[in-house]
Amino acid sequence: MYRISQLLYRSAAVAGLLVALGAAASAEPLKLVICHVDDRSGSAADTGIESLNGLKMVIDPLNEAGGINGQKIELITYDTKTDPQLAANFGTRCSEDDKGLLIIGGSPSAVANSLVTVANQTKTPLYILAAAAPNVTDNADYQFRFGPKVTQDSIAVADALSKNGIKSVAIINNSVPFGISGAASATEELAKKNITVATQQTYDVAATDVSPQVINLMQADAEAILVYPYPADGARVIRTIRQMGIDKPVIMPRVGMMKAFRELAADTGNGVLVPSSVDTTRPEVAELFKKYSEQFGPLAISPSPAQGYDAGTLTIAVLKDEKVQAAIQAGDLQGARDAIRDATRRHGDFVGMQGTANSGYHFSKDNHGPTDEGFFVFVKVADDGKSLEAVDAAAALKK
Amino acid sequence: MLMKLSYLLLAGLTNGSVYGLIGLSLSVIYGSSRVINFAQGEFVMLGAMSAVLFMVTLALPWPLAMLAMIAVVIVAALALDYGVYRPLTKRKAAPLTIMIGTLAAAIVVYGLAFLLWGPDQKFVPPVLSLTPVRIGFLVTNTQQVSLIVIFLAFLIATWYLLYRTRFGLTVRATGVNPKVALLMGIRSERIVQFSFIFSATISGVAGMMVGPLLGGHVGMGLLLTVKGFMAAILGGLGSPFAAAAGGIAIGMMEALMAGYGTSLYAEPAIFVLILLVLIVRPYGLLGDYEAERR
Repeated sequence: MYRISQLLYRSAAVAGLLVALGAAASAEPLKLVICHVDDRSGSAADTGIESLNGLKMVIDPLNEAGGINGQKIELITYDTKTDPQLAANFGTRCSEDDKGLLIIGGSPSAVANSLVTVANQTKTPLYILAAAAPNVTDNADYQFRFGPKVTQDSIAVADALSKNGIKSVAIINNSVPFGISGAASATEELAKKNITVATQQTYDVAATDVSPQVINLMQADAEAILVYPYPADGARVIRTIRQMGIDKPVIMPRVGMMKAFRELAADTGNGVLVPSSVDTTRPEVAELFKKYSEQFGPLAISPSPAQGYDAGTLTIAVLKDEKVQAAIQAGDLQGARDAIRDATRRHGDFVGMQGTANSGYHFSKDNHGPTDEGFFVFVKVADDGKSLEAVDAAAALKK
Repeated sequence: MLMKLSYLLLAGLTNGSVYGLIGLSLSVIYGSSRVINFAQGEFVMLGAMSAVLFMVTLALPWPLAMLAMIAVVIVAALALDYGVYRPLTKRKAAPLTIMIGTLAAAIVVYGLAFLLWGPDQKFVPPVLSLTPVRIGFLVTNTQQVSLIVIFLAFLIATWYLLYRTRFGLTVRATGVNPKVALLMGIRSERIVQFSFIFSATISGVAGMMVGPLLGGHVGMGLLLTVKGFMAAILGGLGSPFAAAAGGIAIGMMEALMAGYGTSLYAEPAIFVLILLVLIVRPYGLLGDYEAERR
């Protein structure tokens, strides 16, 4: 009997020791693991490559200087290849296997949507990059967006037109969802500013000749033309507009900045105005793009490096936060993730490399993205499509 | 008023010429083999992307690039013939099975092109100038006008070949009944092979000429095949001329609908119109007439 109770006491002591050791082990500080989950091959490869480079421009110097409290940030990268299923797998791997504190990525909306599901299921904070779909931050808790919603372009366009006294606009768009939803959101925002849509023309992306639609634009005699195309048909539309001698200002949100459009449109693209979330007239932004070009090669104005850079800047601010550090030092993974979410809301009012000098990000409990107004400037296509130049919208749209 | 109508007719003719060229090439193969070639659009894509390869990457002058492009599409046509059509017909496969075979071939070609050229839209250099030219009061460019000229040239060449040569007679005979044609000493396999080559050449040239306007993309074949197929069905699939006429009819309907009606609903409206035409004339607008001519 005595031997049995002795055995029980010893077993209990060993078990207690093991529990204590386990507790000591879990009290090890967490590693500062963050994951970049984005397209670096496939149709949206440029966005992921550029945003990762922008992110590295912030993280590498910090690590070289010793990291945060002596801990370096470990950046794990996954290429999602515009495949939502792959994005979900990589997001889960980051959260469960890599014990990632934060996921950064999701430039195409489909990839971002997959990552949102993962973020909500695993309660891991997510910084979304270029995705334009408005719904990725609907009822958001753990996710925050750095790229503006598609509707924000329309707000910027309507605002610029209204400020320049323009009262009538013609819209031409292709018949795919991008064109139709872009035109619809523009119509809504123009109505708020009492700007009339003189005509809206839609064309098939496979149409070689879009002159029937462009004739109707010409006859509508609007003060400016808004175009929502894909790159190749955008080039066709602008060529036909110029061919028919229409000299009204042409605004082409998003696609106007794309290399494929500029290359295909060549000289006819000159002067096309594009709302841009990157203002290169700001010295710090110009400096960022100069450094980027020196480090990674020449680049026209693009929001992706700025989005990666801004996400990296906020990541560092958040990881240095007192409450986040407390959870990291205590080895509490979920506590650290929750603290990162809360710290993002606390540190999220800042002017980054996107937006204007007076208007930047505004993350709070109810707002998980950039400010709706004042976030855009205008650039114009120049030098036969080889470059994009910052432009004063007031001068460009002057009647 | 007159200016607008003239622009609409010119646009209808330009777009219709592209649809007509693809309809014509689909119909040439169907006429000799009773097979609808779902890989037809891939010949158009190969035409445009070969132009990128030969004119941009290898910097060849356009006449040489065009010859090289024709060589590429002929190799693709022979691969389709030897790799899909002949093995399946030897095993007495039904036309539907062969059609699925051509669809599989289209997916393989698309995959290979994707590996070679990637997913991005490419700049296809224009063979002719994109600078505006004036025809009366109309402004257009020579690249667009060349589509109409090429369409007419291939239409005349096809008519001459089919109706003014002994060889054309053998092609038509094979289309009507390959077994009887074989008994008459016509080597129907060779005839079908010729139709694959001829049809691929038409589509390849169409791709090279339309590429500068549409942009080169490995997925561009599908959209154009749909329009070409609509053209062939509307006009009458059994005759190359009916299919070509169908292309012009669709181009004109699109232009007039966009010019005078609503451009947003032009596409669905045209599909409804085609459906109504086919209810009244199930063999297409010119189907019966062409069947009689045979």
